[in-house]
Amino acid sequence: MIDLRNVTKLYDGQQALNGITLHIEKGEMVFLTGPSGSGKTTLLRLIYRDEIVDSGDITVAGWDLRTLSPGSIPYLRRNVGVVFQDFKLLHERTVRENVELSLRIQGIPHHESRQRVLATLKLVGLAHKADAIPAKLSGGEQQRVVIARAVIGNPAVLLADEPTGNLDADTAREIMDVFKAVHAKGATVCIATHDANLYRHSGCRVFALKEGAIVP
Amino acid sequence: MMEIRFHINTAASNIARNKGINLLTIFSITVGLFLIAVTAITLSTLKSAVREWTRGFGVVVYLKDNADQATVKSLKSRIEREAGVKEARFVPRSAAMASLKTVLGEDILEGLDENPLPDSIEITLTEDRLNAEFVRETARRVKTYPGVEDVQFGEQWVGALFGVARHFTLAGTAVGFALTIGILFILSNTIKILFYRRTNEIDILKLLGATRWFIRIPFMAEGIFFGLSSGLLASMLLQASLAWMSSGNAIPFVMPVTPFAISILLVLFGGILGLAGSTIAVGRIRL
Ligand SMILES: Nc1ncnc2c1ncn2[C@@H]1O[C@H](COP(=O)(O)OP(=O)(O)O)[C@@H](O)[C@H]1O
Ligand SMILES: [Mg+2]
Repeated sequence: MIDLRNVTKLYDGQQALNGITLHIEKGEMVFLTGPSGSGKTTLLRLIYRDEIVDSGDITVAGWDLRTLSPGSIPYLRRNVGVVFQDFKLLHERTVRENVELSLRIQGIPHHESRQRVLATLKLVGLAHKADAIPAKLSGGEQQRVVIARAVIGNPAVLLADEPTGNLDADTAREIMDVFKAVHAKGATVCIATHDANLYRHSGCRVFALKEGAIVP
Repeated sequence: MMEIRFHINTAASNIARNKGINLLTIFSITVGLFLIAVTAITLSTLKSAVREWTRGFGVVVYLKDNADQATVKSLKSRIEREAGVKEARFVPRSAAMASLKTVLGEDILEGLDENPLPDSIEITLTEDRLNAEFVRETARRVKTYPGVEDVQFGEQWVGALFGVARHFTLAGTAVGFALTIGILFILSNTIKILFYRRTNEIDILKLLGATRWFIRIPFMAEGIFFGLSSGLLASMLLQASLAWMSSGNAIPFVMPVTPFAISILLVLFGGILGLAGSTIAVGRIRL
């Protein structure tokens, strides 16, 4: 589902990623770990085509991202739900509208999306805050809005960048349950985290990054 | 399919969020559209005045003294076959004298024991052919026909009037064109500013998989809204001005179309400019 072969990414001549090769199977759940600055976010950004590789090959859900035309990028991204580390919520819109946006962008009309939005907000435990604006929510609650927005479109691939960074242990477990539920429905899930508790007993593969390379 | 209502909601909330710049834009476009309408009305008033004045300028064909009836008859029918001739009327010298007497008064002409006026044919041209060039051309041709002594027409007047009218038409068209360009410029600039105010939001939409058109459509809706509302305001302003001016007995304006049609046209033209201006704006923005 996600294939990287010898991928390199440079920022201002500095290697952010250095010869990454990894294969994530369809329906697999994996973890990406490593210290701050090791390249986790950069790797995820390559996968949803927010950044372009400087060398190497990358294929996501059958799309060759090196040759992907700009007009096709939206359609790739609809298949890749992302839980952004910095949330990227629209502050003038309610929680409900933020979550619904994923569906609106895909042309799913309001009357069809209403129920799905409520169900997804329930899944992340935020149904009671549907009409609040994000600024009025705690960090953990905002995190859950982002997760709801990422999973509502049933994407083939779900990427999460430090999704439990703002959460206490209990809430983190609940959030992991959401990811497991999405994974159980068949999505390929990739979670970047430096919280070893998340993957210790998961039985999932863990890729450890260090200075832009995978450590064996 | 994209959902229209969603885009309109987005556009509406953007309009509400940027009241200052929006009011300024609508105000400027309103004034521009109003001036375009005023220019059009002025031009059509001027044109119809010129047409009215020149209607009086017939072409008079003076006949030779020795022209016999057969010559006159064939000349008259020949003139009637000329392009642009609406009517050719034979005026015998006695009738010419009689009308001269009613104009000048019996006394002045009393001393004349002989009628010095020639027979003539008065030509009326159809209105659509009333331009200086055509009148001059026709006069020159008719002058070569047998039995014709001379042809007269208000050459200087016709030429000057049409020259003036042509210059005004040109100037008016240029003004209208400049105003249109100005409106487009204001519109596309405003849309661009509104766009840049929302780059953060747009970046997020793109990351969520929004197509270019999904992002563009609300801005185009805003442009159309600006155009339509300015058109509406301009037509209200115009109707108010027309009502105010006709309340005194000022200039009798000649509308190019009915006042109602002008209102419709203003709103329509505003909407088209709104669409055009915002299309220019979103086309130039890199997405
Ligand atoms: N947009 C950017 N411009 C310049 N350097 C960047 C940019 N993004 C990341 N980097 C650099 O790339 C390296 C990897 O960063 P990142 O992928 O954010 O690491 P992580 O997510 O593991 O903390 C860091 O050295 C960071 O400074
Ligand atoms: Mg990071």
